[in-house]
Amino acid sequence: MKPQIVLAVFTVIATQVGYCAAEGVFSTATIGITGNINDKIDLTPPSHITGWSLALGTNTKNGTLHVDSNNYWEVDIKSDQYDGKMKEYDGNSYVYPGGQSLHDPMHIVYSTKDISLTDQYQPLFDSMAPINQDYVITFSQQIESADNRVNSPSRYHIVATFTGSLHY
Amino acid sequence: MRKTAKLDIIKVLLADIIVLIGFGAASSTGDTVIEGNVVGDLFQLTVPQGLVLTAAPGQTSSEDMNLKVTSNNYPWTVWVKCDSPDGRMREFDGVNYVTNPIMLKSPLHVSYGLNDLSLNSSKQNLISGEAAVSEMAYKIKFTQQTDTTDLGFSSGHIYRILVTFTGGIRF
Repeated sequence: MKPQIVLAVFTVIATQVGYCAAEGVFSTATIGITGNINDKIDLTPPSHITGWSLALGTNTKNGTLHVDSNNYWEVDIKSDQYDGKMKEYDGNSYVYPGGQSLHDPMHIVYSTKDISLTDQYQPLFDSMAPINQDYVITFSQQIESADNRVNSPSRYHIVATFTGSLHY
Repeated sequence: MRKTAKLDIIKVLLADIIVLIGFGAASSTGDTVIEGNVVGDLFQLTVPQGLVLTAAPGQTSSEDMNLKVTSNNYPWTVWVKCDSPDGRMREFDGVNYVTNPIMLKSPLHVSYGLNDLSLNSSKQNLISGEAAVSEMAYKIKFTQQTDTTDLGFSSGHIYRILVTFTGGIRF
């Protein structure tokens, strides 16, 4: 932004010097200098969650999503799993074939918004006013009696992707 | 002046254009990795409270029941045993087993699929599971062979046996 404003001021000075040399009198010329501030949105996703002990029933973990935006914004979320279900992971990659999967998808909850993750973006926040703020969101995972415990080094793994974008 | 003014206008327009180019759509993306494991093993089995077998002397009577299993891990096993050392039903007065009871001649059999067991007081392997299951119903069959000499009671006494199912993971 700053380089653009400097360029416009330099234009005014060049005009005055040129006129003086040609005519020998001074005159005044004006030029409108316009500018704007670039839109921006900076999103910081919640910290990674590791070693989560998932017991039978509903398990929840809170995370902090930070949004810094100077225009109206939204945040959409998706996962790397088409069905939003945590999958067996050996520490380097998903165990396939034969890996275990939890029976229920991961949910991400904020206020009354409860999103069952898939690999398609879904809005967690929509049409929000400019702000620089933390939002506490909740990861919620239901465990069924048929969900297997996997043996070390395996564990269940999923990646949630948060994308913030501006509304015009 | 006109040339200069024109140049100024051009420069102003140019400056405006540069500013407008700066308005590109903004977005920001971040990932959160979530990892965990299921804690604790869970194994539950349920059976009906009671079962009544009726048979004429010299005939075979059988009844089915659903044994429901919930297990969050595997392998799992269900064993069966009974309170009669040799698996034979014995005389019961409605409250207790009768002292010196009359007993059926043949033991009660319990089967799942092709696994047919003659009951006794030692636990025997009835079902082996190789997957986690939730409220899975397994059809169990009780079969009682009666002898023509097996006595029928007329005093309110009945034949009774208590069958115990036990299950567990990784035994």
